[in-house]
Amino acid sequence: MNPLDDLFREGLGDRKAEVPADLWQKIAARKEAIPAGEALDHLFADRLARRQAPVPAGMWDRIAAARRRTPWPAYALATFLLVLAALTLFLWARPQVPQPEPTALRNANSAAFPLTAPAANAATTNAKAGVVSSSEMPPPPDRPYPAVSPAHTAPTPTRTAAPVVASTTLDVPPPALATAVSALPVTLSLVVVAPLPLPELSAHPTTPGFRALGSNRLRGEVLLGAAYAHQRFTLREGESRAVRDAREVSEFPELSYQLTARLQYRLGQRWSLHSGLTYAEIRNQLEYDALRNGVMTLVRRNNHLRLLEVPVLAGYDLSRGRLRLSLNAGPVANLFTAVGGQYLDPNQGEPRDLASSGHYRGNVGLGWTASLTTTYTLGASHATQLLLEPFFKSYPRSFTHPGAPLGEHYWMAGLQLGLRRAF
Amino acid sequence: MLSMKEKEMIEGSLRGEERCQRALFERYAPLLMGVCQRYCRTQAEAEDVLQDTFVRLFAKLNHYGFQGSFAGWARRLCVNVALKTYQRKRFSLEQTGLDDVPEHGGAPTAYTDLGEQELLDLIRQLPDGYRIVFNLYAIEGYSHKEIGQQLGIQEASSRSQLLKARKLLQQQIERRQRIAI
Repeated sequence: MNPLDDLFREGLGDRKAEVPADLWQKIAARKEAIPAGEALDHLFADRLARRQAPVPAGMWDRIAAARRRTPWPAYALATFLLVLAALTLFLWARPQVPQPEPTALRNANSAAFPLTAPAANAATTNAKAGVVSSSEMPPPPDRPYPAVSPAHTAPTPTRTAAPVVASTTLDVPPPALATAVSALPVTLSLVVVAPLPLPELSAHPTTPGFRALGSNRLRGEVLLGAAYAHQRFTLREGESRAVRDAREVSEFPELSYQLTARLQYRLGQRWSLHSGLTYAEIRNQLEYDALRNGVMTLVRRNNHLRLLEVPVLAGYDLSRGRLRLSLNAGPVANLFTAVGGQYLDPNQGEPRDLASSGHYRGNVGLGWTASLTTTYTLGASHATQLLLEPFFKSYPRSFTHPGAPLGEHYWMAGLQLGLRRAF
Repeated sequence: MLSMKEKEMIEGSLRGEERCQRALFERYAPLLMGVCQRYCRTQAEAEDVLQDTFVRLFAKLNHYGFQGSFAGWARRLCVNVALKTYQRKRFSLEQTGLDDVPEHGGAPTAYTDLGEQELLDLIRQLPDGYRIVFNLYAIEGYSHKEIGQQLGIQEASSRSQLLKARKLLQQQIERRQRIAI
């Protein structure tokens, strides 16, 4: 035993220190009963209800930027104006039907033609084999001479005269050659200069009277496009309000898409019929927080609705030419619908599977669609066309059965790109 | 009752004058930030809610109609934005029990000495559901029926969440006080 230990043990072992007289009062004062119930509420409310907190720097700039982010009315107006301008442009750009020439000019031409017609007629006849076949067309009843396309009259008289001269040398005896050649430029220049209105052949090859459509009536087209699919829930039972609220705040649209293969059958100059097969996938994202290993984790899952359907559209050409605009509309018959993914049910501890819930139909019946197709003809053969098609599609029926707690409706709007090919 | 200056600020904001909108922001942002901090677990979330609140406030300013207190109207709007954000981003399947609440790490303090920041910290440590219901009932003064409608839950659930929130807060205060003594 250490003597030092003994010294302290003997000296301090039984020592009772003095307790301050007010110690108990101090403890009692600190050990007040912790408020409960309404009193606890008041404790927090009194100190926090009107509490002001410092606002982080740059918050106003964030708000100003966020307010500028979604000018939907401006977008809508701009889109409307753009479509309106495109429509106006296309309608004005249609091939113009020639106006009847002024009487004075017609008389002038009539006066001029008796002088030049024989030579011109001879020249045209001689040039038939080597130059153009336009003179094979029967002359219209109100026109004394065959119409020639402006495109065909575009070459200069000198260039046009060359084959004429060549053919003339075969028909005209040598002594008359010099006279014929000297007369031809004058005659031809009169023919070219004469402002003949040439409506029939100046139009596009698909004008009446030139039925090139026969072989191009049936065309195949393939389109692929992205779309926004708007999801809307409707309440069927009062108790399902919580489910609807949970789904509305946990499911967000993703980029949907559709792929279409269809045939176009032209019914006339402007009308056409389109039908085929469309595969569409409506995509949503489910987001929720789940407690995993004591840590709150954001979970994201993809939901999808897969649709196979047959569109039957009537098309009407709003404009003609290389760049065309057509309006299409018609029903969409749904053949098959499949659903995949999960949803949140506040009454369940885990997300529920959409397919096994038994709430979804296998077929949603008829929908309808409308689209505005811009067509650009590629190449000289006119066999291939490039398509740009904004479209809208709506399904009036709910994707869920009538017995399901929620109705689920969709509409889609998107843009398709595609190719059309004549057979 | 609105002061003339407040009325001018609101009317100017309705006309789209940025100067007035900024003045309105500077006047009410601290109050609304205080509300946001009570409903959100983190400062970043609170800032997001404050931003959304002002975006919505300027968009819906014509609905105010100069009826009643503007601060009260803005505060209700802020609470609604916070609830919507909570439902959208924080929809949680957590089944947090009392044992899951973390130990409070603050300095030992008797409850009478608890300041605003300590009380705020206690509220922000509550699980989401408890925190929302406690805020709505104890501080905003909503009834259980109104809370049920706002959150899409039963009145009984609201009562139950409130009781659990109070119990958790009491436990946390008691723990601090015990250490302090």
